[in-house]
Amino acid sequence: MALLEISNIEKYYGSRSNITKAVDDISFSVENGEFTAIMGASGSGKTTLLNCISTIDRVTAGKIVLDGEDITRLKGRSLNKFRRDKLGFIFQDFNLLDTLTAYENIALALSIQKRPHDEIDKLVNEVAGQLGITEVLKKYPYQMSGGQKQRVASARAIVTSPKLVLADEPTGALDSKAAKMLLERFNYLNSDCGATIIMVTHDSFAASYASRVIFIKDGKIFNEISRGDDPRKQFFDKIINVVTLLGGDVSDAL
Amino acid sequence: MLFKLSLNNIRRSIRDYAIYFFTLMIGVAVFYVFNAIETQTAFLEVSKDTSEMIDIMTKALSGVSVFVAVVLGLLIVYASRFLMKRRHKEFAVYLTLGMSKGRISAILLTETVIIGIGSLIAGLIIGIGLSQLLSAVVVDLFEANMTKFRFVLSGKSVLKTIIYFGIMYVVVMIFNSRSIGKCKLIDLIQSDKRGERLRLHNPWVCLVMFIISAGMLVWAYRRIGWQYSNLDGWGSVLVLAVIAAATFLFFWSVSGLLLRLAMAMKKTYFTKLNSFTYRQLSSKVTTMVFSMTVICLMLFSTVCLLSIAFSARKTLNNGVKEYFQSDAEIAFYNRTGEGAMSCEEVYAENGYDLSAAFKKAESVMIYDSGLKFRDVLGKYTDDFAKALGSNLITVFYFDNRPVYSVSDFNRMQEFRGRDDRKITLAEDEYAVFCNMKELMKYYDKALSDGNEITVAGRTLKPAFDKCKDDFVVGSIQRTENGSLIVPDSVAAELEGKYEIFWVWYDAATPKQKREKEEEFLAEYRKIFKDYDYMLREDLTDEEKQQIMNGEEEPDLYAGLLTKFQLADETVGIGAIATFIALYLGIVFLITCGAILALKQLSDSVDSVGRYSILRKIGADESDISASLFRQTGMLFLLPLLLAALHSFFALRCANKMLSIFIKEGFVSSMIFTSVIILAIYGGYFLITYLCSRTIIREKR
Repeated sequence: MALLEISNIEKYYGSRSNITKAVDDISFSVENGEFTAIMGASGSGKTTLLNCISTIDRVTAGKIVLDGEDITRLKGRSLNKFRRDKLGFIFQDFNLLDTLTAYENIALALSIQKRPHDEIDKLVNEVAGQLGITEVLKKYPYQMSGGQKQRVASARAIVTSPKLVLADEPTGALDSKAAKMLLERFNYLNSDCGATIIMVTHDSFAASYASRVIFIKDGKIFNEISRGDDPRKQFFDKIINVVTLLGGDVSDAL
Repeated sequence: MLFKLSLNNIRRSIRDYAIYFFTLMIGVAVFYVFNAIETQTAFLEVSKDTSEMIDIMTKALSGVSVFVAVVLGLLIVYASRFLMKRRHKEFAVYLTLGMSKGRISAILLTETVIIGIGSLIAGLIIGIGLSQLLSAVVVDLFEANMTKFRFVLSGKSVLKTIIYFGIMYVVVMIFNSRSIGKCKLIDLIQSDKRGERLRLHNPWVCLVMFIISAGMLVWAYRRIGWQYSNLDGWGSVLVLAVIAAATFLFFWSVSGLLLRLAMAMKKTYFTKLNSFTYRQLSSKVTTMVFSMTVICLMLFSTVCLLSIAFSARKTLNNGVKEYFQSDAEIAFYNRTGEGAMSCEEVYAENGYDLSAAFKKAESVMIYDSGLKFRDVLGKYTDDFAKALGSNLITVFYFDNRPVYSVSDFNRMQEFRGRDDRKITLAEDEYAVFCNMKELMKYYDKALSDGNEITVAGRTLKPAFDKCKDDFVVGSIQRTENGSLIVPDSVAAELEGKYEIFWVWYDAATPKQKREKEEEFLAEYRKIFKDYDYMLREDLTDEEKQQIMNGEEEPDLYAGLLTKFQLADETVGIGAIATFIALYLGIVFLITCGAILALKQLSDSVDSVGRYSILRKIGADESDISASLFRQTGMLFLLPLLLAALHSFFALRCANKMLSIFIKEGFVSSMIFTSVIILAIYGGYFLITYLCSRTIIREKR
């Protein structure tokens, strides 16, 4: 059975007279250990989709089943618990706490799960090694570069070994070098650590690191391509082709 | 248009302004209430002495009001500058839209006027309401009669409040316009990006500073707690300055140090949101070291003021009831050996029938033994002298110990209705009584050693191994420093010095007693006009003054003291102390509360983003609330704890130094003080916490 099963979800905004369908009847599934990218132009509904999966937003209709549990039915306390234990978030603007050091930021995700401190120490150092941020652990966010901040945020997202890592434009605020480094880390996390990642992006280059890309236009799935055994370069060309087909402003994201 | 904008601004930032408005309102109300006391008490039925006391009190309170106005003025300037800083972005928008700085100043001016007028009106209404309540308190404090309730409005106080606060608001406006004038647009636009960098001091520097601070405190505490006997004016100023400096260093270093300490305790630090909580708190304390110092010192003053005033009042009031066991007391002596008369004989000579006029009259004779402390205390004299400290001893150290005959002593007890305190002495025995607690234990030691004394050529041994807790001469406190009781046969050999004469008025109600006292005083003035040096016409004022200071001893003497006189005076002093302490205490407390509340609320606004991150990574809402509660709680608790520590040692010192004044009711006055602090300061804490919680919950 798939890790994440999304069936016929819809999300409407606005009043009766003026309805915007941000997500309009989308269904797909994500297998355990997959690295999926969701691409689309601004306003295509990709962030709304991610918000629905992450339970930050509620769907108007449809079902989202993660690990055998229908998360659209969760409420209050169990919602927090679900987010805490099963999901990891990576945001475009990092969302690190500026008052805490990198180490403490990563540790916080574990300490709110009430893990013992020696385990916290072990896990934080381990994940810092995987993401190459061991030397910045004692620094505060304002002392770090954008790439380092995003890797710290990624470390915080995966340190709890979540079922699913959700990344919203993780490379959006990074320069190309830092973006490349981050995406290589994602690949490593996915292939070597077995993390399941869903990444929302409008950057074809970023998407080319995924094993599968879902294209969204006007709230509907427009296309879907898998990397298969292609090298990354070739997959990138495929993506560009679809983007060209999609037209509009996605192409200028290159 | 301008007015509308200002009004909307206030409405929009009501959250920021609410606590400011609230504080202003309380300030106005308190100011009115304490300045309206004069009018409130004008209609009370009080004696002449009491009304003089009330007069002194209103003068004192209006003096204190100037100081209070300065404190509140500083608070208002601080608060409005603080609120202004939060709105730099908004000013930037106005400036980029092409509004002139003058116009912005005008907007601010309008806002200040709106808030000022609003708080003045609201405060005055509350103040007028509260001052009706205060009448009842005044009645209780002065033990006066209130015939009927009357609604009183003090126009004078209203005017004074409006003028004082008007001046404060004008000062604020000047400050605001000046700071707007100095602003640069680029700074305003970037104001939120400049956010305060985390200034974590070097832990070793922190440690050194903390040790210095602790050292200074230990020195100051030792000085006031144990070595207080040789503390003079400048010495006290120095101690207070050291305490203030140590407080500053403490707050400078404590947050860094506590944070390091917390971080070292990994188990606690990495539990739930603790790391976040500690960091938030530490950055708060680090950015407001000076404010924290001021707050701590104000709380310290409040605790000391309130508890000393309450306990002094209680001691004074109880003192009269306890240590003045008659309605009137005449100290009388007639030195000329022949023709010596007793009080009773003087009355009889003037055709005054004592038994008809008074319920009871009694007198005892004080004899001069020529015995000194050393004779009675023996080898314990030096310990005793050391315990008292050098300055207290001189008052009575070289006086001869008074001696009473045992039958006089027993008759006195009968007069007081304390038959159980009567004693019997054998012909070769003596007894000692004293009621100053510090001295009693030395007498006890000497007596249990069997220390013998020689009076009029006869050697006497102690009848009891403990000294009696008693007194002869009426007072408002424990002032009996040790007198001897000897057998009548011994006393007969001694020269009588003073006669102490007492009466109980024959009256049932306080009102009748007052009338009786008037009669008694009138008679006294007639009968003793040649004896009482204050009434004698043959003495100049200068000579009277010399007698009063003890520089001259007249050969005829009579002195009168009545219970009502003493009570009116002590009640008045107690009430004045209580009112001034309450006035200052409340103003200090609202100032502290307002500063902390403003800081915490603005921090919460700045931290909204942080809390939403916490929510996104799945922190429980209850954990977030708990973290906020702890941050707010610690922020309020930290200065209070240090202030409590300061107060403990300062009050210890006060308790010893002023032991005659504040012997009693120390615990109950501490409780009362705590209740007041808890109500006002705790109230601010609760409001702050609840408002902060709303703020961080807003942006879901």
